Formats: sequence, C-alpha cells, structure tokens
Amino acid sequence: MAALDPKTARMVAGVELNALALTGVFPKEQLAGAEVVEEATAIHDIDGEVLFHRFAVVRGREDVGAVDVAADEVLGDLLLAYGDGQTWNPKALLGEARQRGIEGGMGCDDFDELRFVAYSYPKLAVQFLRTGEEVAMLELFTWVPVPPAGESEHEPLRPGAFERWSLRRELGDEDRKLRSERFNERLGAIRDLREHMHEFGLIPWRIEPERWWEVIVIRLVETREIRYSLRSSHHTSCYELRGQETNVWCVAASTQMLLDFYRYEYTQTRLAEELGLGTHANPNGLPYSRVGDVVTAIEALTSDALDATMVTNPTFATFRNEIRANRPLVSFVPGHSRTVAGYTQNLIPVLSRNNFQGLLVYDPWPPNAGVITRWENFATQVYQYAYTARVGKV
Amino acid sequence: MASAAEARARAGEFTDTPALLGAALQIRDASGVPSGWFVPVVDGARIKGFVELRPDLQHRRTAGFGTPTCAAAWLDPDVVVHRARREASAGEVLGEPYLSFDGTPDRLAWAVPVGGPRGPRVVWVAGEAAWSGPAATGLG
Repeated sequence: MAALDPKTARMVAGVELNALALTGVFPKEQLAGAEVVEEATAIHDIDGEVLFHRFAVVRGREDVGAVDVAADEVLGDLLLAYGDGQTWNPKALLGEARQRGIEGGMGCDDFDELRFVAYSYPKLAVQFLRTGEEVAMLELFTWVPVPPAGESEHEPLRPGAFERWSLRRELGDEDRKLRSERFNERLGAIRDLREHMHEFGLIPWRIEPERWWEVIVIRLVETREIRYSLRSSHHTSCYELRGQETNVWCVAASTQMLLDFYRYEYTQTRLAEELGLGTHANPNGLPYSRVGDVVTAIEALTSDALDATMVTNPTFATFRNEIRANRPLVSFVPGHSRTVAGYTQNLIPVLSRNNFQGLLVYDPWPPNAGVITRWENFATQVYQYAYTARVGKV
Repeated sequence: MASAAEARARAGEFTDTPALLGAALQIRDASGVPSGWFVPVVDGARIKGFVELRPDLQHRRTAGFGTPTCAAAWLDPDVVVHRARREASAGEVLGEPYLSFDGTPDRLAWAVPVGGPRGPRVVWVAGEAAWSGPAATGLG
C-alpha cells in the first residue's frame, strides 16, 4: 500500500521545489511562478504497488519540468527527481503506447487497463493488463517489449540489462528500515510545515520561493536547548550561567553549571577542593594529566547518582545526542572548559555541503561574568573532551 | 587582511541586533599577530555581548554576557589601564594595552605590557577582573 497519497505527494513536491529554488539549486526564475499540476501519474512497481507519483510542473501553458515524489517509503526519501525542462504528458504517452502495441501485433489490442511501471527502477514502461493480468509491457519511449520475468534468479539488486526487478522485493531488511526512517522523518518535517503554510497564506504546489523564505528557513533548522523536560510543547529553557571565580577555575565553574542543572548546589571553592584546583587566594588550573578527575568528581559529589563519562574528541553528534536527551555537557577545548546546553543545525539537505552546525555554549569566561555563546561555529573550534552525565540512580 | 569596517559589516550577519554593533577591535596574540576580530554589541553604556570573527572574517562565535557589563571596561583602553594598575607594583610602568587572550583564544582579555624593576611582564584585564603571572597552563 502506498505510504503517500497523491494529494500529499503534490504538497511535498511543491515544498521540495520551493526549497530547491530558494536555496539556489535551480535559478529561482526557472521555477518561480510555476505550479505542480493536480493530476498525479502513479508509477507502479512490477509487483503492482504504487512506487512513486510523477507530476508535471507548468507555468500557464508552458511545460517547466516534471517532478517525482515517492509513494513508498522503500525509496528512502520524498523528492526523487526533478527533470528540468521535461515534458510529462501521460495521456499522450499512453496513446502512443497503445498505438505502438497495436502496430506491433503484440496482443496489445485486447486489454482493459494501461499503467506506468518502473520495470527496472528508474526505467519506465507501459504495462497492458486484462483483468489484472499482464498482456504486454513496452519500454517507455523506445517501445521495445520488455521480456517477461526470467526463470533464472539474479542476485538481489543486481538485475541484468533489460531485466525486470522489484525494488520493493529485493531490498534487504536493514536497508529498508533505514530508508523507512529517513522517509518518515522527512515527511514528518514537511507535515509540520502545514501550520506555517496556512499562517503565511502559502499554497504548497505553487512555486513562489521568495514567499517561502521564512517558513522553510525557520523549519528546516533544528535547534534545541536544555529545558525542564523532554516535552517539546513545554520548551522552557532551564540552564544557568556561572562565571569562573578566578582566572583559572573554568573547570570548577563548568562542573558547577552541570551539577546545578541536576540541583546539586556546590560552591566553586568546594569544587576546586574536589578537583585539586587550589584555593581562592592561590588557585591553579586543571593539568591535562588530570582531565579524568572531572568524571570522578561528578560521580563522587552526587554519590554516584550521576553516571559521568569522558568522551575524547567529541563529534557534533556527541553534543546533539546528549542535548536531545536533555543532558548538558562539559566541553574542554584547548586550555579552557565550558558547558554546552544546546545546538543548532541546518537541515536543508541541498545545503549539506555547507551545513552550519553551532553549539550553545555557557562559557565561564571572563571571570565573575561568563558569556552565553549562541552560536559557536562547530567548524572553527577544536573539541578535545566532552563530559556527559546521566542520572544513574534516583 | 580585512579592515575594521569590513569586520563590523561582516559581524552584522551573525547578530539579531546589527544596529548595536560597535567598532571592531582587532585581537592579537602575544607576538602581535592578528588572530581575529572582536565586534562588540553595545547598548548605551553597557556591552551586551560580541561577535568574534577569525582573521578571514569567518564566524567564530556570537556571545552575550551573562550579567550587565560596563562597556568601557571592555572597550576603553584608559579604563583597562586603570584596572591593570591594581596589579602593578611601585615603579612599574604600564604600556599600551591591546586586545588579546591569556593562553588560549577562548580566554579573551586585554594584555597590558608592564615594565619596571620586576622585568617585562603582562597584566591581563577581562572586564572587572585583572591578574598577572605567566600564561595559564592546563585548563583554566
């Protein structure tokens, strides 16, 4: 059963094309003012299920292109292809197929249904059916008969030339699962846009990139920060900055911020004692040889209620995954310690080569003040260690 | 090398309040080599935060101070020297301050060269805080 109905697919096509035009993948003037037509052409898998929908994109009477939107999650994403300048006239193509079939004497004069089939995705054919059974299949445009399924079995996803095969049948379970997740994640994000489309009076299948700027830029950026709970609908920030009380107590201040979040209230003087950072009058920094002490201190000061872990060379995903779980982190960069309580990342796939990733950093520097950095460009910093802490027992 | 005006214009891309941006200050390392730009976000007599850029004007961070801070403490060299004087000994002469960092770029501070009986050294000033001594080692 198709996961995406034609009406939703048309909306998806419009959103994706607006995003492509907005981000300059296609010159805006090439698509601006165009519209995704209402009539969807179902393209079937050889097993009979609808695999994707194809829509013509027109501007008045001018053919602008054709866009393919997945109907089945096995395809792994929503927007499959956009053929710029392509003319898509399914009625004319079916008429030609019928004519060629009759002329070729291939039994194509006795059928009750014609449909488009991805006989070897993305290669297309027209299938002639009578009472649900195939009479013939002609490859689109070449009108050469597609041979019936052979008896010899090919390896999955390794069909021979001009051989029928089914993406739906041959994809492995693991790959299918990953594709399904990606498909549904993308679909969810686009569905979330509907409220904003309504708010801005946008008609999804109309390509008006300039009017989409606010909606797409807002929604295709994922931003999260530490809050009271994991409920997105109650997104109240819940994190506080502490300035370091001496010029070398960044680790004490960072640890203090993290522990404060879990309602453990320690002074920096006490934390300095635990971490071996001297006294207020005679402070010292944390030597690199003792970076592991942060884990020990966090666990000791919470009676092991917090389970701390040191991550060497943390990636953006390290920070993102912890923030998604609503857990702040201590972050060591060369010579300095801060905490991280949020992130932002650009989710526009076409921009992925220049994908902006930023961290919300609660930095105890300068002394007795601190700054909240919104955002620190992840690409310009060296992240040496990160410390995660999760509630292990209550 | 970009100019201060270019740095200020560039910083406008990384703040919601570009109209509040003050003049860009060059950040220099201990040897005097430019290491970036500090573009303050100023609201009256207060500094709200700053945009920090690398020498090639790549965005490094946009930050806001956790507590209201006197702008002069960060932007007026005379005030910086005044703060540094607390750390100086009798007979020491304070030189021209420059915006720099103590040990690592994240520890932004004004460096005030000091000369005198104790030999040449640097007093650091970051807002209300002032200190001296060798560059920080380890994490601080």
